[in-house]
Amino acid sequence: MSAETTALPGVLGGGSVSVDDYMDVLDRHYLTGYLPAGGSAVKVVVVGEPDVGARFTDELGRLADRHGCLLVSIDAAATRVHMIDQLYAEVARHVDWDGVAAAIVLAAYDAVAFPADSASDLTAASVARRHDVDDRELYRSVRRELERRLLGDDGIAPEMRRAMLRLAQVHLGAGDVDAAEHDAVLDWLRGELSRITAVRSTLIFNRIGRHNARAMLASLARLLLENGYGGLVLTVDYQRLAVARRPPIEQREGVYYSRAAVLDAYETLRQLIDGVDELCGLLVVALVSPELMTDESRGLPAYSALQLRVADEVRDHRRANPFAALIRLEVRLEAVG
Amino acid sequence: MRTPDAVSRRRAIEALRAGVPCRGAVAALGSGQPAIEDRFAEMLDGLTDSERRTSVGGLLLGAGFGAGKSHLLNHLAHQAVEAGAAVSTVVISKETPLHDPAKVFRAAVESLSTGRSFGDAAVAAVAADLDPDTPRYAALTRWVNSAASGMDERFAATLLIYERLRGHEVAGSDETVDAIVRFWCGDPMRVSDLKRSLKLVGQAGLFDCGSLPVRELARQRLRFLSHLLVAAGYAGWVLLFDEVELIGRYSLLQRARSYAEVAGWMSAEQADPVLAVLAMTDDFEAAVLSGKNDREVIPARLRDKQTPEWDETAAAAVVGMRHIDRDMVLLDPPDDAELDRTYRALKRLHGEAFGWQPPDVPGLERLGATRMRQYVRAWINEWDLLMLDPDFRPSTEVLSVTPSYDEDVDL
Repeated sequence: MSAETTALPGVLGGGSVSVDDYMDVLDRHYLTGYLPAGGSAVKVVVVGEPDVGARFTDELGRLADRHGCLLVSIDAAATRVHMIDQLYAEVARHVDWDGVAAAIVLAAYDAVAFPADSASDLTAASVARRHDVDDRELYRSVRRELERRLLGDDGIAPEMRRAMLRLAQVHLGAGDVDAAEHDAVLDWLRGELSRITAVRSTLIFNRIGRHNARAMLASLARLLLENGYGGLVLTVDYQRLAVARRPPIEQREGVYYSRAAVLDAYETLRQLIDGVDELCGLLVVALVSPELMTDESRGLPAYSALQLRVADEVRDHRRANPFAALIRLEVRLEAVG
Repeated sequence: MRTPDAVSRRRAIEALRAGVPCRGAVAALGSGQPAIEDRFAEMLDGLTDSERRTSVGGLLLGAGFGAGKSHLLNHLAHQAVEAGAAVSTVVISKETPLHDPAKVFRAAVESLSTGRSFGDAAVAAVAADLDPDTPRYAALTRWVNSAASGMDERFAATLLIYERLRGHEVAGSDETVDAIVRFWCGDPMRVSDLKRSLKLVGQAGLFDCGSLPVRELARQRLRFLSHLLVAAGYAGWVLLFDEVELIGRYSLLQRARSYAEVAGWMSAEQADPVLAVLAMTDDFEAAVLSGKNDREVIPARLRDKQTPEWDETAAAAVVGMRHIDRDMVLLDPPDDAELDRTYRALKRLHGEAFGWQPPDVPGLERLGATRMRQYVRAWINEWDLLMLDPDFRPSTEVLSVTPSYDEDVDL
């Protein structure tokens, strides 16, 4: 066994893995068992050819679907990935919040021993009729159970707990949440609320911004896991970060990143990697191009905090490890600088 | 592999692949630094004793890249929580430059852990735990209202408003209470809103809340929060700073301010219940203090500005650089016994994480230059490959990735 040590700054070379083999590993070792049980992971995946990237994301979509995961794909060309609140908002827009609230209400009815028939009619009146009990008593019981479940869940940010309680109350049909408040709560959860006062009655006084978006993302992933999902799979395509020069204005499309913004994007990813203890049920796959592996100005070598976390400085001579933090998908070894 | 323990072990392996610490990894592997643990424990004892606290100072740790500094900090965090302290881990980064007290404070709050809750929610929970009928709370109000504390009156004012409105059925009190907690966490609060709230509790005109420079406000918030934690029953606030060597890539003036901040964190003169531990690379002195001649250039450049503020910063920067020179406590490199112990613990961890019996693997040759992170990654890599193919014979190579200290304006 060799243990050669060579100091070659900026070199992140290594073997590659086929899309099929990597899917197999993600299937057997991440989406089966680990993620649904509360595990989390962040992987950086190097994709050289567009068809490889497309095949990977398509296969990952099918895999996520099979495991009951919510898959959200974000493109740095369309979403400002250097801002954690924008990442959060993009994920939040894909969540069926009313559906999650319905799952919570269904579980609450089960817990108070008056199961509802289906998620399509969760009003206290209907469920009470089904069980031939007093609807006001049933409402009080299930409302207490909802408060116990949601407001007592330390794993979810307090404001998200209050928001979900409000959405759950809508399903109970007692009229304590009107349509305007329901819509405002949804807007808040999606990071789209224009007037924070619209959710004051929900005891939410704070927008989702850079200071709390990471906590909200962690809470969102946990909430999904607790309510019937197999986890949250988030792919973020960082290839736009390699574009250093904006094209002429008539050719511009989407978001372009200054070097400072590129470093911010890497810092956001670094924080997700470091958040392993707080993240639950979340698999993040960061897609990068081979040039971002060697570009010392805009690539991973430009941000040592991230580079040190993902670089395969220790690797096997002949075989790539599909569990590694950095994966090369059907891509050649990067040129030594 | 579906039990919570198995998931925790698997999470630890995932973290170790990336070389980041996590609870499970630290619990399984320990820190391997008993002398530093003992010294830290002694400092924790000093934290809870207000008379001894003024002689505690901070702790500066040094080791090479990948030698286990972050892992050790994680271990110290657990030690601190077990001792009843609240803990924050601040990773110096582009988003959190050491020379910016406001950003450092915000990062400290966002990462605050009381063992029960995190971040802003932890501050809200701590505030909710305050009991005005306790001697601890009386000590807090005495301190915040005393001229000797040097605290701006808005802190005494917000504490009073919080006490009067919390839990009472006054219209708008929930929003005001929330705004106060957010102010303590670093959000702005308009003086007009503060005055309106004081009027609500019948204390209009009793506090003088003028403007306060942003840096000083951040320092006072930190001091206030540390005393609030003690009033709520915590031993104090432990702040762990990681990757401090990043300051070597700042501009000269930013480095100067950062050295001044190092001096502040290491100071043995403060009487606040705060204990700081800073971790940086052990080659910083050679690469930056000497390599960039900061010891000479920085004081001279700052004094050239000829303002009292920059003179003060120059003096503090000199103290900070002296701390780096003289007070860095180096981590012990792992000896064979430590490597054997880590190997056995990691082998058990990998087996429990994946539900299999890992065979022995050779890993890397034991050389002085090899970092603990490299040993750990090599072992894990070899087990991963053998788990997938028991007939494979791993052959591990190492390519060192060495970050630079070149100035980077975008940091």
